[in-house]
Amino acid sequence: MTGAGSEPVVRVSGVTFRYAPGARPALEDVSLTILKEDFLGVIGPNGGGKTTLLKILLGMLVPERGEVRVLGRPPREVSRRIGYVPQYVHLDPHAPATVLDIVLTGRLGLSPFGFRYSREHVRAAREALEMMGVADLAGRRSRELSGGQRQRVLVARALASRAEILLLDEPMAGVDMHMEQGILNALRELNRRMPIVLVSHDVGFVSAHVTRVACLNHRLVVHPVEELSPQVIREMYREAGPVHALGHRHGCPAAPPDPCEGEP
Amino acid sequence: MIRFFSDMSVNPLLLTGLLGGVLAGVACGVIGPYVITRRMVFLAGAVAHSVVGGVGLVIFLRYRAPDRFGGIDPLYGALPAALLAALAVGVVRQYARERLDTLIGALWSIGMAVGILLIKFTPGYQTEIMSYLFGNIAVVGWREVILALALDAVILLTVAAFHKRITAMCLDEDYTRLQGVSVLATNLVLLALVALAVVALIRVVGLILVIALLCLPAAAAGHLVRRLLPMMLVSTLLCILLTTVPRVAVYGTRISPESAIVLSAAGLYLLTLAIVRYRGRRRAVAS
Repeated sequence: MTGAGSEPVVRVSGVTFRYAPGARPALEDVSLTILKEDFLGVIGPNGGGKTTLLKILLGMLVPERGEVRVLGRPPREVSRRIGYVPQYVHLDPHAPATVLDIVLTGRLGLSPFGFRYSREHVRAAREALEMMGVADLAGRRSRELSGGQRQRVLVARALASRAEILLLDEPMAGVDMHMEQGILNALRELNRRMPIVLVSHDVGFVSAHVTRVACLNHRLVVHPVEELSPQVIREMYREAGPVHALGHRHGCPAAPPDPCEGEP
Repeated sequence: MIRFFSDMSVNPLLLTGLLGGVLAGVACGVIGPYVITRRMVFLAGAVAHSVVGGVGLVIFLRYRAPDRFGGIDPLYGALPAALLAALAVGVVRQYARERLDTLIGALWSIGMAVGILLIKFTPGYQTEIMSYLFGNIAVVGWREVILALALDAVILLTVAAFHKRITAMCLDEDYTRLQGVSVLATNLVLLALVALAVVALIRVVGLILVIALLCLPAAAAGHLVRRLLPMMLVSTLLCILLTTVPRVAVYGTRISPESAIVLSAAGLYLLTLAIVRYRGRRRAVAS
């Protein structure tokens, strides 16, 4: 008998997934447990299965083998309790919608019928924007946002749905260092309330901010963040070709030491 | 213009034409913003043209079996044809994963071909189909007004129930799906709404010009306001003006009211476009 606090939020066991029958599996025998207090970074080469894993957690893809439980249920049944920030989200720059409208769609699952969102929903959407520090953008349109503002708005949309877990796919793509730091601080704050899974191909960036790192290259290996050494990373990327362990030498005081810095 | 109102007492079709215009204006004003936001103007065009098949079928049946189908208005062939075409596109798109513009091209021409084929076997009715192609607001009577009223009621009730879902789908389909809302069902609802709006417009501007009223007033409204809901209100207002004012203005001249409506819509669109560009430039200079 385990206490309620240690109940895993996500339990993936022995999952194998192929995009086409007979193709090389995108995920092979992947097992993963995510606890309530986790801030898990998922890293790995392009095509290593990172986005595939997130889509399986969301129920958008169904594995051919293995079992997935999110919040104790099959993913499809709980997808609206999962906050998701996709990697490629097409926000139509011409859409007649403001940031508030976009964030309000995060409330759709809670109130799917009708003409307008009630005050309660609007308040929740504004609170989510507040949490990400972009409340002042509520009246803007998506085309008037910078890359970093856009990411914050998308995180706010995920939060607005009363999310109990947050999945982010490459949230720092197209975001500058300064904004990146701001988003990370907001995420750390959120991590007090919910587990976060952050997918990134940027090894150094991830390992400096998360509590555990999952290295995914079709197979998955989880490390506590202290264990992440250049050897481990090289091991993982070996199949994908030679590794260029680039240091983040920006001369910026905010930049954390890079764990994969070192001689290649 | 004054003659229009003085003639109204002797020609009751002027009043019903005006009422039909207002009701059609409501339908296209409410649905137009969805159509342009979801970029389905040509899909709406295909649905409109597939109506020829339904109208042709009714005209053909009326000729072959006048005792059973003699009293049916061809407009009642238009409604199922438009709905069938709209739902077929939605389902085929979902399950066959075909390119949308290919489906649009197919639907557009298949509907026309079926209609033309059936009309060819119906001697003497070629002119009637013309009134569906180009519209004939002068023959809109109480029967058409009641049909338009029913279409508007269904459209408004459906929009009231599904607006949030449709908006979310227009903004981000994948995210809507994750919220536990069926995108296929929502899309079929929207397509059915477009079909109803098309049928409501056919008598007023004709099916060839339907897409003008579905996209131009909505696009003009989009120049003036930022959000979908105000856009629907403004475009409804513009549509009602467009389906009535030009009609009255060209009454008694040789200008066809249907062309006047569409050209006024185009003028309005260009005007709002110019306003937006001018304001945008001034703002750029000021900052």
